[in-house]
Amino acid sequence: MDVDQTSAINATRNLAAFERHYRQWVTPVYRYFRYRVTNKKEAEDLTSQVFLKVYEQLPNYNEKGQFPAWLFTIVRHQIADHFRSDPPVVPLEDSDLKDDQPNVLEQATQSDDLNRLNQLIHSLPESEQELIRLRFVAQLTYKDIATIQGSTRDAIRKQVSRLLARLQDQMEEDHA
Amino acid sequence: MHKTDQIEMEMKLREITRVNGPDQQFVESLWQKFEQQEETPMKPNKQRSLFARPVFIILAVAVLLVSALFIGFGPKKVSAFIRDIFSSYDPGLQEVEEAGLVTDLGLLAEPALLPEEELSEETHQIYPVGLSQTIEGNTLTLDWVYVDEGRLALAYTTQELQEGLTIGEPILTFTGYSPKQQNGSIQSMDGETNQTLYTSYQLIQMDAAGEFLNFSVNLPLVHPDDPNQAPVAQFHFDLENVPLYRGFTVYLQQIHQVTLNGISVQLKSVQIAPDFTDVVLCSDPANGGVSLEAIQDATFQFGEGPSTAFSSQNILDGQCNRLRFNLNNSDKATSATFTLNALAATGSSDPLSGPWSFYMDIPTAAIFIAEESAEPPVEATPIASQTESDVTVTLDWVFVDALRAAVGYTITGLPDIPDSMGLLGIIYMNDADGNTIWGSGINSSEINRVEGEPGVIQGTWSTGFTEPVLENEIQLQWVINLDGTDMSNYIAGFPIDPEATPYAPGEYPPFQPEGNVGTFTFDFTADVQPMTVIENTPSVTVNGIQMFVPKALVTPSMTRAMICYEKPTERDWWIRSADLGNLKKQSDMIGGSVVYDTDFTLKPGTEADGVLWVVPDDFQTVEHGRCLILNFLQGQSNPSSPLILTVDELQISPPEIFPEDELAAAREILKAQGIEFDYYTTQGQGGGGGGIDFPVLPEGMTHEEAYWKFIEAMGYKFTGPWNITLIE
Repeated sequence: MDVDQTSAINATRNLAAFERHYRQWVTPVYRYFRYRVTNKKEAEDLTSQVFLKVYEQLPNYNEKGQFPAWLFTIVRHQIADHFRSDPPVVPLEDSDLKDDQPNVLEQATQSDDLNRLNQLIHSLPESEQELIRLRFVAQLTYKDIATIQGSTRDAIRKQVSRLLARLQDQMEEDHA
Repeated sequence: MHKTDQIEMEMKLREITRVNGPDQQFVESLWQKFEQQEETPMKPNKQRSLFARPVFIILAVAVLLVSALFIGFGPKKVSAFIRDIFSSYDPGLQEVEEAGLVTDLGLLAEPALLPEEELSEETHQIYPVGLSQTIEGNTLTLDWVYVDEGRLALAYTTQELQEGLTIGEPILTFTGYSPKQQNGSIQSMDGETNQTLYTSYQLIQMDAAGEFLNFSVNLPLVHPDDPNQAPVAQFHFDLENVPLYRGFTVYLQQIHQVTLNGISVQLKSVQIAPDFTDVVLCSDPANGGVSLEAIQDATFQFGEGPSTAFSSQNILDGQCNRLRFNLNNSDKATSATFTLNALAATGSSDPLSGPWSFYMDIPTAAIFIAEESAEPPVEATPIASQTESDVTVTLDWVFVDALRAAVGYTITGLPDIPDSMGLLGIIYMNDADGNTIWGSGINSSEINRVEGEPGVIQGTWSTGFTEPVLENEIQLQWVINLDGTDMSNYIAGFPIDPEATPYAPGEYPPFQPEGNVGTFTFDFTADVQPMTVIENTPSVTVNGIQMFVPKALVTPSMTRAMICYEKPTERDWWIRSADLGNLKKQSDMIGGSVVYDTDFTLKPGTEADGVLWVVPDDFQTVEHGRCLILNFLQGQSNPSSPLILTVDELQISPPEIFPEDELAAAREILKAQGIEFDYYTTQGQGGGGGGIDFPVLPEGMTHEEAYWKFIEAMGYKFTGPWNITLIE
């Protein structure tokens, strides 16, 4: 096997490994960013930057089932860097997220329940907001969230369950 | 909270937090960028050879400095260390250790020999000068010069020097460029040939200086007893277009500065003459130095010879001091050590105690001239421990077999951060030519804290070779850069305690180190443990699918096996999980690659092409034939014990859109198992998506378990196991 062949096979192998990660995680990462920034272009830029970093470091990464933790560490730093240079001051209503999903926002503003729930979410501690972002925005499994948070699947499941119960209680108090 | 309430709340949350997925166009466009980059092999963070980077010179100089602080670490309990490290992950290296195959550097007298650098005649050559000058009856010939980014060497021969005169330290004057970081010099005269070799250590960056240098050389005639070396006369040579070579291929070490208890001392120059040896020491108050009033105790030692105390000293300017030793290098040692044990300093009533130890190689012409390289190589200094910014990395052991190389290391000096998630930085290995060994998909990296030793981290790291190493010995260079400034550079993570409290998002888990500690580079040679080649195992048929292993390579630490099978259809049937087991352990495959597939135009290579993995001729007629290479971090140090490869199942990747007919068939199958599912797709301005929901599940079944049932019902999975005996 000559050098070119060897390189080509290595490249294919590395690329194949990276592609599996990329295909699996590009949507959750994009969703996570999309929920947090004002427009689609920014979310795409942030997603690109994250996967570029992953791509560059994948040969050094040791796969032990902790990829989500590593990936979302990069994601969180990326969003933190982004907000440092571009603080999230644009109200959601002014962003082009509205264009992205007109029906949902329309419903949210038309529905008292959803409007109230939206307010409740934004009043939650950052840790619980992040839990919602990982579970409902990025649509990650409990197992992946547990890996990211350095916890267990059952512990995360219980946290989410307790959070939902509390939100439900608060909604009911409002109605009472 | 009632379950219905929870579901309702979940639905509301999904609705309120819903965002579309990325545009497929964006996903594919981004992917294409990576594919385009992949046209050349992945080269993260490195645009050119390590030796070609000026920063390497800086780091190497640091290596010189820290080698003075080399600590002879006592024997370590390597066995226990590796067992602890690998008990959870790398059975291959654990087995290697149990078989006693790792090289414990702490137990060896010469733990880590630096590679014997050979000058490439084609690329690095001395620049012959051959100019002679005679001044007042004293004749000097400048024989040759050599310049790379870290060393400038020149050789001159004297004839008929007048009694009482010698040549002082050469003075170099560059045109159009100023070298950086003067890191001392050494001048050694051979009394038999009257040739003197002068080597100066400094940084000359090719990127700034260009490929050729213009400089002048002044060689002063001095009285040897004049501590200030006031020139009686000077030989002067102007040199133009001297080639400057990238990196510093000529491997020489000389420690320039040693800092002990906050006191820094610099070795400015060493002059080895036939009847004396002079050492000039300096201090730099701006850099932790003190004014040197008097040296009270210092010794010089050639090679392993006796240590000799200095005979005289002269304070040059308050910052420097010239020491003379009545000592010559009659035994032609190739290294020496100067040790400063005690000195008096301005502002201090008590003497300051050392030792400040300076190691130096004594250059010989053979190092620079290729055709004389048959001379015994320069003795290299064992470097098993290096320190940067108070952080010490010790290379504890190395292991190399035909398929991979591994190292074990210890880091001390980092602050103890119990909840640190891991280490940031870059870790890699180079071959003897300076090419990085990227791992061929075979990498492992582990770190652990050491119980009872806060702040001490032990780690292991391994990488795979692209092609099996067939030599008995190999030269390698292992590099670890501890740099916490870039979160994307990840060395390894600490094991996560299952009971650990999760970090609140927004409060980022800490990583180590804070800031950039530096780069630690270790060169070593190691024996290569051979591999066993297994060919054409008996085939095994399960569920109508036949599998066999035409070839497997088994080393003490890992196994690479080519496995061939006929796919049920033309689609991408992949081995989702497989493991390799012997009498003691079972380990999962860590990855694989496709080398042959009739339906995906991957053609078989032939032995004539030098291809390592050759598809058997009779298998090339199989309609949907596929061959994979599977990697396992488990090997066999004892080839006489059994080794069995088990493939659990074949699977194809689910399509983005499930065909309606397949969904209908799966719905019937799953309904009989108490599973009902909804398949939904979404489309919008921002893109589309889809998914499976399971509104009805048997009691206790999770969504994940249901998903795999769904995949099987869709016909995307063939269940084994196929047990293939590699070694009986």
